[in-house]
Amino acid sequence: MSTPSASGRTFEGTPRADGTVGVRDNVLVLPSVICSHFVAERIAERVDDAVATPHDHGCAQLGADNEQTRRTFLSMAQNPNVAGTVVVGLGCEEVQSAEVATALESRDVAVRELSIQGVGGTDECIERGVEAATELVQSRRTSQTVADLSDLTLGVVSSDLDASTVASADPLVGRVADEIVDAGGRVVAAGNERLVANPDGARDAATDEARDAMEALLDRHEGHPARATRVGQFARDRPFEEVTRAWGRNTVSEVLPYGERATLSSGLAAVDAPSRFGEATTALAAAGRTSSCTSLATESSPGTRSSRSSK
Amino acid sequence: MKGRVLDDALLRLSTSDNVGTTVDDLESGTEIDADGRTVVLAEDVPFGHKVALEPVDSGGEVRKYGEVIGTATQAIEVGEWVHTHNCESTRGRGDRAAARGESA
Amino acid sequence: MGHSFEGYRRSNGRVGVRNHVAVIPTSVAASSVASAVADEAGAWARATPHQLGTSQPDPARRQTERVLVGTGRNPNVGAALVVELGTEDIDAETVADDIAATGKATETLTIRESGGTANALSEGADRLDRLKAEADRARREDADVSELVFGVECGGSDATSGIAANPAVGAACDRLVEAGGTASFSETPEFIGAEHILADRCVSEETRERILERVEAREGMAELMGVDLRGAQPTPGNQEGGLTTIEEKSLGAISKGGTTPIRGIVDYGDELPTNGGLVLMDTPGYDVESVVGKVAGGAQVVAFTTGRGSTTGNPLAPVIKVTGNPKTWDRMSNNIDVNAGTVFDGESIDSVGARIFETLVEVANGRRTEAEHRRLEEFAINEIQPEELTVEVDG
Repeated sequence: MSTPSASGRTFEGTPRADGTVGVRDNVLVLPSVICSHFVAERIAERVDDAVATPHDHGCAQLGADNEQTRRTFLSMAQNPNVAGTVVVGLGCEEVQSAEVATALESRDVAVRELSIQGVGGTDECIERGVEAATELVQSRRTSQTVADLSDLTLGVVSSDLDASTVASADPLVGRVADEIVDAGGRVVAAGNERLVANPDGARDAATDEARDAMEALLDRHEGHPARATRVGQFARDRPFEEVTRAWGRNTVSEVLPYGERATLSSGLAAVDAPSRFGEATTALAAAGRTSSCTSLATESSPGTRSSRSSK
Repeated sequence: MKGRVLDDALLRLSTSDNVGTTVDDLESGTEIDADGRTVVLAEDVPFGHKVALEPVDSGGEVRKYGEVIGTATQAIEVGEWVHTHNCESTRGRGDRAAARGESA
Repeated sequence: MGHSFEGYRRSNGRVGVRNHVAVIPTSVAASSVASAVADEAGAWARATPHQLGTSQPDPARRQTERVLVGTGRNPNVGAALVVELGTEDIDAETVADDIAATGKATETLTIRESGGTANALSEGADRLDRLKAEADRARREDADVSELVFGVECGGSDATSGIAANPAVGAACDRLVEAGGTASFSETPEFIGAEHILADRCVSEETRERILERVEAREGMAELMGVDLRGAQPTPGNQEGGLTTIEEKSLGAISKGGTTPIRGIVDYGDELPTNGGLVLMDTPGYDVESVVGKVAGGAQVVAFTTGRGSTTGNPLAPVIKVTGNPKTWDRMSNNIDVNAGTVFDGESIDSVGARIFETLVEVANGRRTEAEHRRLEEFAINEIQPEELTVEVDG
């Protein structure tokens, strides 16, 4: 049986102003707070190619939590699969929709902003949001470009460490990850429990440039229970190599805080996100610059609302 | 409403309060008869915001609802707008603990 | 005006003001399927999608499970379908059994056993039909307001909240408590600076100590994170609305519970007593999570005051929105049920309180709130954060 080679493979994508290529051409309807979540969903439901990313945050979070929420919003909206973003706020929240929109504008993202309180209620906000999203959909560039694997960022998360995952699914995904990196692309991997459970392995897996950031990640989780409890427990009893098979064989050349965008031009980056699927894919979509692939136990893959933009 | 509205302009919720709450958007220079004492607004004060009814020293208590709601970060004159620029909370100040090196 | 209403009496004696079939996912992995099954079925089916439950440290998982069970046990739920992917730490059968202990019909749906989402949707539809038939056997019958558990919340606060809307809702709470019912408010961070007043109103030393301890823990979170609580409290909207400090916000916030003695404080999502008087719940300051906690505790109706204009609702309990800000009423009356801004034109707090109490009875009788009309059904469960959990050495 011959194995098809990844080098030389191409795909058609949507070119973005910053030189990246999208594999989807969606308009993102981004609630800046849980309170505008339904309004954002109603807007997206009424516009073809619009997707909403409802979430639980943005109200009155403290310090680092608040920063993380804001950072994740900005990065999500800069994912190349996003053609433009409608930021929808309530109006009184900690993460202000106008502030998010201004920050995105300065990063050359096509953006519209509105808040429920600003326009006088949910009915009006939905109507205006539909108009704004429709405008963004209509102003999309229609041209497609031929891209190769060096234009791809693959997101990888393995949400459990069951036997079949470790034996079959993870190595297969890891193989794909290696092919992408060999072809000049990027892989971003979630699953911080695996690093924390095997600190020595994690240190060895990091390149010199990434070592300080890896050390900081390990410090940050010191003494805290793993978010994905079972993954954390299983990972402690297994070698590092075995619990990170889905990441491929490359060394970790960048370590990213949750919600941060990857900067490496090629290679493997680890994202400080848990193996819990929804949170992981959101962080990968934020970190990554194109598609997100998942490795999961056995047959079924739960789609989560927060990760829609990455699909 | 609890408390008393002074001159249709400022609500004093308790007699021990040294600030009143505006019941409308008020302009700078507005004169308010506060129980025989005239309070002249030093600046525009939006609806729902606070105006000093008595002078407050820097570090002094700001009182509303008959309770301490914070301390003045600078001296406040009668008629001045009282808000985050001259009044701060004394609670939940993890930043101070961090500065003292007590944070976890 | 009568002090009775017509509600759905459940086998455990509690009375619902709605007769929804709840579709409760045990985790984020089953949430999309739960929402799709409910949407397909119609407005009588209400999903409670959330982000938690796949794999959580034990204390966090127990809290999630408690809220899911409480949600299904809420008397506004006539029957419940519990949906799981099949790989979660939280077991759908256990959740369903705990809900069924109240005497209502429950079923479970395991997406993996159905063989994927398409099959799960059709199996879910069949199960919902059976559950609806069970729920439909309930009829509205006479009930007394003393059987109501009334959750009160404030969000998007401004200076009018503490002056108009909150005291008016508090006056309605006083009426309900006087009639023998239960009122509950929460949001412990918004006790900071007002806890001495709450402590003085406690009926027992035990409750007093518990409240002070919970406030200290919430305030300690700021310390633990090495940050200034002012970074989050008051929020930008609160500040624009005239609130300067957390103390000021809290002093205004606590008036929404009224003036009666405080009879106890329960944990997040724990059952609130009926005929209980004024009982607090220890919740975070996030509005949606806080409302969900009280609904999981058995609140059939929620009043939610707002100065700036919050529009959130709940899938299972009607949420009555009250504003004390006349400008917000003018701009956003589509999303608000009661105008308490009239106190600035001379209406007494007590008179507004009477209107809110009447609205409570009407809503209990079936009148739909603005949030219900618009199906604004925000739902989120508070997750205990790693910083709040003790270090697990080898667990």
